Amino acid sequence: MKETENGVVSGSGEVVREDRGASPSRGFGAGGPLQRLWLKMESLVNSLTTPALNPFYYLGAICVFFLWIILVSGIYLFLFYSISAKGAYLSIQNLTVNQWYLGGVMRSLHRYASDGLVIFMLLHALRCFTLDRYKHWRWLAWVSGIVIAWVVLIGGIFGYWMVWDEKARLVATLSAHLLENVPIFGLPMSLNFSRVANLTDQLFYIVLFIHFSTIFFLFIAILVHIVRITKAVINPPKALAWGIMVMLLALSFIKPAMSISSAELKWLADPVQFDWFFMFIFPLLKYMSAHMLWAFIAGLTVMAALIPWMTRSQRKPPVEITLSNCTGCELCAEDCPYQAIQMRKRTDGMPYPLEALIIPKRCASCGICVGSCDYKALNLPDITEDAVKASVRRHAKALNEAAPAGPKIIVFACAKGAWLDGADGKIPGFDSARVVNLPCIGMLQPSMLSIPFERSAAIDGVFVASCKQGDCHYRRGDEWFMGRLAGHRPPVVRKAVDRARLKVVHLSAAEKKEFLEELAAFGASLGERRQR
Amino acid sequence: MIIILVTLLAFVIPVGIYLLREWKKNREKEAKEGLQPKKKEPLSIAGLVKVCVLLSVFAVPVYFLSDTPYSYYDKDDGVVKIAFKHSGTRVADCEEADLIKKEGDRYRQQLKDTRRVRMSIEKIAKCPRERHPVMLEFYVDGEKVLDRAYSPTGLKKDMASYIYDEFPVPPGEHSFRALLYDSGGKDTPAYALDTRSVVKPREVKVVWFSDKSDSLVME
Repeated sequence: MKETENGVVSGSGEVVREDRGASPSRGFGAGGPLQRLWLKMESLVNSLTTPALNPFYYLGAICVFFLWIILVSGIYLFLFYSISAKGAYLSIQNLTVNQWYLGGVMRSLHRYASDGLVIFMLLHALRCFTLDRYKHWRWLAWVSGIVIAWVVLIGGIFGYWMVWDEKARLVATLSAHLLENVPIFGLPMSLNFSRVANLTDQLFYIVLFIHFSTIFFLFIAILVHIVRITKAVINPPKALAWGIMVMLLALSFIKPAMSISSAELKWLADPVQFDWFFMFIFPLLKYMSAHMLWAFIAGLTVMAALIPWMTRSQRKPPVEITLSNCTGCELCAEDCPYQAIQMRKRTDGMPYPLEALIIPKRCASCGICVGSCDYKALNLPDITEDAVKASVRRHAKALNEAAPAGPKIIVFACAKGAWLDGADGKIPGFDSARVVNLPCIGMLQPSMLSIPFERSAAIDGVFVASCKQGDCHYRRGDEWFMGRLAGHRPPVVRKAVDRARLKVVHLSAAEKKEFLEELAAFGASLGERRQR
Repeated sequence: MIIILVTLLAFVIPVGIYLLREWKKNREKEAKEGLQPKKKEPLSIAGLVKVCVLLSVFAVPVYFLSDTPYSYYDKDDGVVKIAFKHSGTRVADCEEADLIKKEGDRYRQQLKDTRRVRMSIEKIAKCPRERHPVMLEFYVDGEKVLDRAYSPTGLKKDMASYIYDEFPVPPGEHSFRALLYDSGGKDTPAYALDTRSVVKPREVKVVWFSDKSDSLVME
């Protein structure tokens, strides 16, 4: 590679323009107060358990786990369910009372797992919103998440019909009233609940069918939800799964799910035991008409679905490919967290079977693919590999010129982690350290990491600050980096890199204090090493 | 029940097999490429206890909000429901059954005579089947609480009208009057109900149409 007037000529002869390659131009911003508050709460949970067992990092996977419990317990309940107006209540009551040790527990698991599902779904949505993980390339997951929420709610409401106790009757009456006010439903469903003679077994078959079809719709909706995600986490860690089971079983024994009295059409049931996780919508019917409630629901849903576009910020430029450098090794496609890179047949006659193809709409501009490419085939226009390397060299030179008292440290920091806003890489209070901010620590290519270890750089140590373990903003960046460092994920960090002079910490954006403490401790350990 | 269960399993089993195969394929792929050799971590009891303590925070709202008494209806009020289906009279006087019978007779006769015969569907199809909407007026203690027309159902508006409405009624004795019109106009009600009845707190009274007695009934 040689330098020219206009820029740098790469090995393949391509000119990398100096104006965009000289220094990283991406402006990193700190999160808002709500984000910091949320992260503080997660830090607190981390201190109670460990990041590996923090339920907030597995909210989606926990929801899927709840669905498995609902499915298995639901199949068991169905085996004993009588699909008829007269038999529905009796069959469930019989199962709950006479087979309390299994049937009753299964029923409680079915109910409490459904309630848990609603709670964790809400938390999942709230977390994604708070931590800004719903816009741009994530819009499909956000919108499909709203669909999933409605399918769960509808399935749950119809599930309550099936018990056919007083609560079921109230839910059935109110939901029928809601449904018959939709123009596509011609017949008033409430007719079925006016007289015993009108109540047919057919209705119970329909309700059962709707309740069962929930699982089919959910399966499809979940597939859409994760379709653009590479290696989606759909199973929580074993300890969390067991913990959830223990809690559900405890609830099942402390407060078993029971029916109230059988549905009696001649009298108004009041008060009834309400499950607010599924029935929260019905009390609104007291204050507004069914049409108004539908308008409210539709408005709320559309607004929620449009949030990614309403709060849209300017998108960072997507990654660009230099095809002449691409060897078709597939590592970038493997590592891309949002399936923004696909492999296709070679189009330029190079002697490799495949080449990478970028799908700009899906690109998160995280730079993880840059970190996985050993051949400089991928680059972010606003923060190129050359720019990062130049930045590292510049900081190393500045540190050597300044000749601070303490050990000289180059810090590679994830901008979504403990982000530092000092000018020109300086850290207030740390003269001997300079920071290179990266959009994601997954972008840290081994060749970037090895620069400070070069003898000519004369740097004492390298400090890498990544996102919290299991909570990478771009899903897998920290994991891929750790894999490269450990030597089992290509491109690997050379063994020659002295691990004793390298420290990796996992910190969230709310842990700046811990960042500085860790950096000070690392500096001290390097100082001791130097003295020895 | 067995059919439903088989249908469900017919969905769940292939999906399960597919997921398992995908999982195995991914594992093999990762092993082949030397990617991410994750060690199976043993379940730590201390970790489990911590997780359980933490999850108990989420169990609290489930405990309290999954089964809370709630009164939807106003205390002590009863309800009168008007719930039945009834067919309005036809808009044009054309008996489809009669036409079909006549056309059938003609067809059979012609078949006997000539052996060259065609059924005239047009004649039958042209017979208008539309029905009048059913109109209902309902009075509680002399006060009109309902005056509504219920359209016939069906694409050709040739099927029954479904009537459903409900009103809260305070407990006590009340007079109820229902007038049903089914032939387009409101000159004379086709059916009428005049009755006095005691509504108990939380009682549900239903006005419906008895085909057996061909009249409106309150029960």
